[in-house]
Amino acid sequence: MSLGNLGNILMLTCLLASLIQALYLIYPHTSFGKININYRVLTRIIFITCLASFLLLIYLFLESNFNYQLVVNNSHSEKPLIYKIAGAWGNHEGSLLLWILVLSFFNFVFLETKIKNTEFKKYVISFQSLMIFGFTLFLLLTSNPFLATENITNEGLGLNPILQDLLLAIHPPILYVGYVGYSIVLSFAVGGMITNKIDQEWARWLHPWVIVSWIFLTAGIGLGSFWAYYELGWGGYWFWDPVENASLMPWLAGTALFHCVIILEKKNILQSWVILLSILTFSLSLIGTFLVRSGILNSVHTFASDPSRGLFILVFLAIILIISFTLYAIKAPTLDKKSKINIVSKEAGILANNWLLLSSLFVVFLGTLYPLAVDLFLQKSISVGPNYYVLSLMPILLLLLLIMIVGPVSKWQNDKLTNILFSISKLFILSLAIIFAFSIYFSELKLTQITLLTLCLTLMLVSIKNGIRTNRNYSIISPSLGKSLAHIGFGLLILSVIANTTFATEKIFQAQVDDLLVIDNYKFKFDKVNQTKGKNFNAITATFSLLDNKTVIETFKPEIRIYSNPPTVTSETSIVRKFLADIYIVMNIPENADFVNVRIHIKPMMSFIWFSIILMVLGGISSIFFRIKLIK
Amino acid sequence: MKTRSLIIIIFLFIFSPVAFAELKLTKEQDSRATELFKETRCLVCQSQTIYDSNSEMATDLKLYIIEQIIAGKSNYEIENQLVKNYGEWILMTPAFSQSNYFLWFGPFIILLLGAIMMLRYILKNNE
Amino acid sequence: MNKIKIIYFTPVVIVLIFLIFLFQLLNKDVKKLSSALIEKPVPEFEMQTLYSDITLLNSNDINSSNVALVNVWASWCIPCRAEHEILMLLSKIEGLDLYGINYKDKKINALNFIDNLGNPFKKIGVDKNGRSSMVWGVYGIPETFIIHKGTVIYKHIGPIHLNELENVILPILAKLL
Repeated sequence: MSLGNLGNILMLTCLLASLIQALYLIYPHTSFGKININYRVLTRIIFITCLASFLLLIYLFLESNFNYQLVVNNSHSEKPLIYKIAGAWGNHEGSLLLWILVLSFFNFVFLETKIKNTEFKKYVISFQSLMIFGFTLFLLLTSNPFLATENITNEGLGLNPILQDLLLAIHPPILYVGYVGYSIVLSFAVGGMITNKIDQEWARWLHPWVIVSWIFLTAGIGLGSFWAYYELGWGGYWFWDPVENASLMPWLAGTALFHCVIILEKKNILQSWVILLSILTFSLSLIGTFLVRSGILNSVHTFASDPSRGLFILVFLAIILIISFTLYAIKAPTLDKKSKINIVSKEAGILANNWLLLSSLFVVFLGTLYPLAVDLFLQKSISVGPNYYVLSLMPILLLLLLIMIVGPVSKWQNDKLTNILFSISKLFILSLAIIFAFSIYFSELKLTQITLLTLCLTLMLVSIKNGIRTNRNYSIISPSLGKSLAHIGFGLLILSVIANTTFATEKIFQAQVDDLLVIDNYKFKFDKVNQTKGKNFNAITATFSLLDNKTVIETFKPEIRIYSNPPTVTSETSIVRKFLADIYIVMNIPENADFVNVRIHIKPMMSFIWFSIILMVLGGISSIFFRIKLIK
Repeated sequence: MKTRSLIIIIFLFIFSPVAFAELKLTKEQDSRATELFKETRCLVCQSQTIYDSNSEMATDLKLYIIEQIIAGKSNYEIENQLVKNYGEWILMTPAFSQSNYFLWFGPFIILLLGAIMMLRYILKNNE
Repeated sequence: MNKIKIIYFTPVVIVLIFLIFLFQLLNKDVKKLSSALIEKPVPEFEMQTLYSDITLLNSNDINSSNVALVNVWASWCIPCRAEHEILMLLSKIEGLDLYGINYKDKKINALNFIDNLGNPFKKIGVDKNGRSSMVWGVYGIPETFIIHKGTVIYKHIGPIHLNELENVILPILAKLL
């Protein structure tokens, strides 16, 4: 039996098992008792077949097995080992298989949790299996990774050299754990609605799942952004590109969601809202994947890649969404508990957080889909660039920072506004003084930026103060460490982004060897140009030295790489990270010229941007860690 | 017309197409040019402005914009002509036109609606 | 007793409308790419021609034809080579005038190209620096425009493949001629 056939059999098994599992949704009380006993077995079978298939696919890439079309299209025998492996998921079919694997993995882990409510558990697993079934069917019918090569060949067409990057190799798996992880959250909502169990205990079970998914989604987005900065050579890290937005939207919904799960857990209110957000988050993941894989997002100016695939995903999306939202419509009114919320309280603060995050979500959603709508209805082509997002999000961001400052320090249930304001006033004044002093020295700062920077700094200081608390049981670090870290991270992120946008400079030179290039207070010398060789490319490398008087402080080696398979030319940036700024050099060689075009960027605060994302991820991890400690 | 074409061709060959800052533009013209470059989309690149891009199309458009500035056209006129040639999508920021009202006002409407819904919920439950 | 509140059905309704929207997006006639020029008059332009120092090619020429096809090409453009035989076929259609715009090319290469592959064009304009073609919104050749009585009807980006000729171009031309 060929390996491809093995792969197909594995996925067919998965298909069958998930179908049987999903049927429980319709036939829960059937007493062909087999279903009752075997749901554990089925879940395990589903996971094992998906895992085996995925490993099999990786193996095919590893051994450069060109009997399979996918390997031919995406690999080459000369590819470095690690990129051969990454090639397995660096394409539509492989990444789809990864999707299914993550779906099944979350299903499997959920099975192993110690939730005793079997009825609830089975419904969650069944709905998750329904989604696994849909995706597996999609894979087998339209996107099978194990298809045999059509025209026998000895060599692959090679992986795009831009994708030959360690960061980009790990970005999809990490992103997917987050992106797809919210599937179990949706299943939780469906299971809870069917069994009428949306309560504090349900929230307690759900909590780790929303946090874990959030952690991975945050990390995944951060990695993608980091990669874009390092690899694309454009100097930017976020472009408000539809594909980026497709990952940001679930993140915004997911962030709103876990804040509400906390309220549900503590106060037993907002049941229907939590359900709605649970459904919304994964819906956004599904919509995102639909937009990207159906070719619609590119189709405004190129031809659609494969409309039949798009139709399948759309039908599947429709089924999942309609089931979930209809269940919501029927069940939600019965699930809400009476609540008393005071306008000055932590609960209100979290509601405000939701209001602002979802408004942001709407902005991103609108910006992404508007060109499509205008094209469809008015036959006009418009494009929505970064300015739209920045302008529209600015007021929301201001309010959000304010809420993040006062919210976490507010008491549950009821608090006095004066108390809250008093508790943050000292730090606010301190921040104001610092930023004000900066603004005198740096005249580029305008009022909006000063306001935002002050709020960011206040947020960071308040969160730091909040996070360090002496307490009998926990010594110096309190369980709210996770929250504090994440909030500090967010404050630092916005602060760094504003500083970076305001103070970044760049200059373009046409340089010849021995030229001295000056930008701001930096002096660079163009030392030499020579040819170099890499594993599967030839390169022209230029060497620049950053000088302090006559001493060389740093060396830069931007290069132009020429790959043979597929024939591509890329420009590699040379980046040197100093504490407060990155120096970013890109080179480009015009035809028939005796000089090179060099772009030197000075980008302040870049490291802080990456660090802030790490802080947010650490915040998430800490909150899970402390939960585990609390349970023990 | 011919002389100008000659000058442009000389510029093309002698100067880097990208080092426009060193061409004979006044400071004000140069900053106008940069502003326009950052607002014009490079149509053959994904998500880049012609300011950021090194592609041929970006270079052509930059040259065109500079010519137009030297010829005395206003930023508004230049943008309009670009839109006339290529369509509205060549501008990074969508125009504030009737067909885009929902795009620009939508977020504020939703923000307002959201605030109302949130306040209603809090006040209703506060009896 | 289940309380059914209509307001909770709002999300489903929104979702249904959104799904219909997505469906429309999928089924959109992607081949009809939007161009800023569709249903607008032929843009004003003037350029020298390939074969003569005296004759010019300008918008008047295009407007004078009942149905015109303007093709932007270059000798260095490989898809243009592939497309050329389709243009030769089209040139045989009665009542259809073909005009070429030679884009950012060397005169001698362009002449060789036509000598070797044939001349389907009534006139060939020369746009050495790509400036004159800007009014056509050219950004990636080959590009082809179909014009009816001075109004731009259709823009095709990229080479015209055989199936596109059959399924798109000829039907459009049939309606106009």
